[in-house]
Amino acid sequence: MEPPIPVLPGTLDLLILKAVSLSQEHGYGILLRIEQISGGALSIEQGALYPALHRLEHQGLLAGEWGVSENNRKARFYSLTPSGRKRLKDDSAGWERIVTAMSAALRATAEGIE
Amino acid sequence: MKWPRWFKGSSHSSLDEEMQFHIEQHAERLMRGGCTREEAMRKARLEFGSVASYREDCRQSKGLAFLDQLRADLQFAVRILRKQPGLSATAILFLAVAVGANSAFFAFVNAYGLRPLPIQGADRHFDLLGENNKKERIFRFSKPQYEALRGQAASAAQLYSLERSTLPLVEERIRRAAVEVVSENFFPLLVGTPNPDGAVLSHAGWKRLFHRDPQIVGRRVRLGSNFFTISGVAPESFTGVEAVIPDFWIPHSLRPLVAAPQLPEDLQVGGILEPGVPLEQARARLSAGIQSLSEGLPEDERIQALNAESRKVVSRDDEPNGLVVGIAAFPFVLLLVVACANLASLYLAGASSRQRELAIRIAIGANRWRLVRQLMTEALLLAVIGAVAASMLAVGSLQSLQSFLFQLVTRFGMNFVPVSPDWRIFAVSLLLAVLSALLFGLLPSLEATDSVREGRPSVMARSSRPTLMRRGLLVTQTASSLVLLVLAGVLLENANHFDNMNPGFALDGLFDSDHDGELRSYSNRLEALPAVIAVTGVGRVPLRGIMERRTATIGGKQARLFHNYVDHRYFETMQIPLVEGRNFTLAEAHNQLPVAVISEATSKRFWPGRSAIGQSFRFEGSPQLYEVTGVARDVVNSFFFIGLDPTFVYLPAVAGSAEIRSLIVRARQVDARFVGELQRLCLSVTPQSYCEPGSMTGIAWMQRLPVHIASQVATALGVLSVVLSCVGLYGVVAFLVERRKREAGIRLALGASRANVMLAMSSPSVKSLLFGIGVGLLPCFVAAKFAESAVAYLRLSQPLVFVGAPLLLLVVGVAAALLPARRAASVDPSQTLRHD
Repeated sequence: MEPPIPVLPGTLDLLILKAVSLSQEHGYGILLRIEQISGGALSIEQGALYPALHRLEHQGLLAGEWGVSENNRKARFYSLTPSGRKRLKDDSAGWERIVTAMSAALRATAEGIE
Repeated sequence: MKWPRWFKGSSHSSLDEEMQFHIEQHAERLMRGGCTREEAMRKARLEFGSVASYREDCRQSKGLAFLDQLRADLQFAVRILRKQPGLSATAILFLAVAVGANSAFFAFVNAYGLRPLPIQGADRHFDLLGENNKKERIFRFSKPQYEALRGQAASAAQLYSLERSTLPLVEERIRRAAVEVVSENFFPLLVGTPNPDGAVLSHAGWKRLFHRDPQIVGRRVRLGSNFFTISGVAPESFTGVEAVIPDFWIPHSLRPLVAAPQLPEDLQVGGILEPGVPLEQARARLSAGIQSLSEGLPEDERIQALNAESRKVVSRDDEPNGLVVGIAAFPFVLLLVVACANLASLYLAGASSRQRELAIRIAIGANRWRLVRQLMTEALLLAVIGAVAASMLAVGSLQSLQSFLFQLVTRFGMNFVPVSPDWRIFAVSLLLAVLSALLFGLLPSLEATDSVREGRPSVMARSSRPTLMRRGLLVTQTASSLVLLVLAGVLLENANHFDNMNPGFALDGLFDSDHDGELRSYSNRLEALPAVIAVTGVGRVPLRGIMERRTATIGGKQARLFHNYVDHRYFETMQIPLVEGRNFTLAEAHNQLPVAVISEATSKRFWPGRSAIGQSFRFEGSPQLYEVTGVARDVVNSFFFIGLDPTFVYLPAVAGSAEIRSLIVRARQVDARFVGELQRLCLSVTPQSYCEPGSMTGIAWMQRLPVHIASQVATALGVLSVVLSCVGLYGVVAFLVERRKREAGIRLALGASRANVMLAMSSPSVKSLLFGIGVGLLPCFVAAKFAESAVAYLRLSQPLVFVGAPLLLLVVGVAAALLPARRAASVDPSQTLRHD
């Protein structure tokens, strides 16, 4: 297995929004979910998750509330707010465009640009 | 200093809990992979990273870091302020004085122009005014008009009426009592209490006339010839609807006891809009039957239009209040500018002596904004302390300021709405102080941190010359101080000039006596008093205002002549000598024959170089030719600021004719006994009017008083601004000297004389001082030219003021600069060179 790659700067927010959109999760759950949906290819600096979560909550994209975890521990759960859902949609589309453009650019050959 | 817990972020512990949960979850997962518990926890913590650092990041993302930094800034600011007690105390003192003066000024504006009237529904209160065919305003309505208007207003507004008069309060002494006869609904509508059945005493009247006698309610007092039962004392907060508080409110049902029933009522009308009714609707409703209001009245008394003018405060809008307040506020604002410029200089000095500290902070990663914020926090902290001191100063001095400014009205027994303190004064103090702090703090902060922007945060940065900003500040404060000084000088000069002006007749022993009744018999009874030397009848009393003017054809020219009607005893009573010709005789005065005595100036102007006796003139619109029989010496008839009358014509009439409206009495001896005698005589002739024998000395004093008050206020402001300027200048030069001690040492070591060193130390500041004086003189000259054309009789061209004020400022300023410079000259070179 290839070693996981660190997330690109600026993409952590998008990944968090995506992970939370799938199900309501606590911080550690979000970390696991990202690892899972990226097939283990993306690794996140664990602590860096929390400033990002709080920033998104402060911006009103996430809603956090205290609940009980599967092993009966007190944990803070995050879910997507309507504006978070909209942001996820917009940013996903934006990401698709970047990827398409980048791929096209990187696939270009010397003959192609003649 | 202790801070409440919430200040350091409340989400602290929950965040820790959240991260702790994460670490434990991760450890459990690792344990499932085969690690021991300790091993798993250690690894989990390691992989998580620094909890503290992420916690800080979280706070930052929530904007809490700002609060943390503010707390740190404040704490640091307190420490800095305590470390420089001299600078801090000076700054607070400056702010207290300059902001306090402005707040005190504001207190007056507040009391009359901002604070709501002390009545129910003050925000719906309006005055009703009429307008005649010449667009002149009609302020008073008759009883039938009021009744008709009240009917029309129904359901849109409720009208009330009041009628003012002055009655003698007869006890052992006769005193003046201001009375408002008010409509039956006045108290129910405006206060919410039932209509009283007797007289209501105002709190001010209770205090002034009865010394707060607790047994006053129920007592009967004599006003004029009738007795009134006092049915209550109004609370101090209820001062009525005007700036002058009456002593008594008397219900309309008792009006026959106040004035003879045959005297028509002269009503001032106001009202309260019904809730939700716009003013315009009430006005339309009131104007509906406007034609029928004025049937049978003379043309210029007929109401052509009605205006309901909203008035929520004591002062009316119709006077040019805004302009007057603006002009009066100007010197106060200027004082604040002087204080700000000074504070900025001092603050700049303080900040640049902290170059080293600032440089260190930059070295460890602070950006410029962060430093500016630190310096601004210090300025704002000073501002808040200064604001508290300023409001205390303003509120503490209100009482004495008020009695100083209102001495005119209190002397005549009138009560003015008191200027009492309220929260607005503190709010304004705080606002002004914070604005000042922004002014005096921001510029120096930017300047002091300027080196950062240019990327040379050098610990050794030691520019010792005054920078452009420092020079600019010095120039500003000097110029502003000069403007204030010149203003004070001009007013003082004028006040002095009025004081020394001789009206041309002896004021001592002269009284005017207003009288509503028949003047001729009254005049005879006055003359019978043993102390009276002479009595004369006049149309208008001299010095009581500007005399009337009429266009005349005189000496072949058209001119507007000041004139007055007087009887044959006028010149004798007033002791105005005739320089030529003769006075008119009793017969001429009695028959109002076309003869006249003219003033010397009039004679010289229209018949220069020859005698005016026997010459004649004619008033416009009248065929009668007046013949000049005598020429009287020039006197001041109108205002001291106008001076000797430029023209004056005395026309004959006697007491009993419509032209003669007042009497002037010359008495041998004027004392309280004589005044009492006069009042009793007056009471016996016309019991329903208060006769106030106005001494001419008092009238002259009254004329001079406004100029005196203005000059004293301006002088106080001028002196304050010069003191502030000098303290500031001293501080700045002292600071520069401190920084240039080494230079002074080197100069001395190289053989410079002490005088040379002193000059070198103080000359940049003195240059700015000189420049500031030049800058300040310019607007003074412009304003003087402007004022000279606007106010015809102001004396402005005194070289004394325009030379004296700059000289004074220069001398005091140079002294303030040389004092610290002397210290530089007395340094020991070997000491200073070893320093640092």
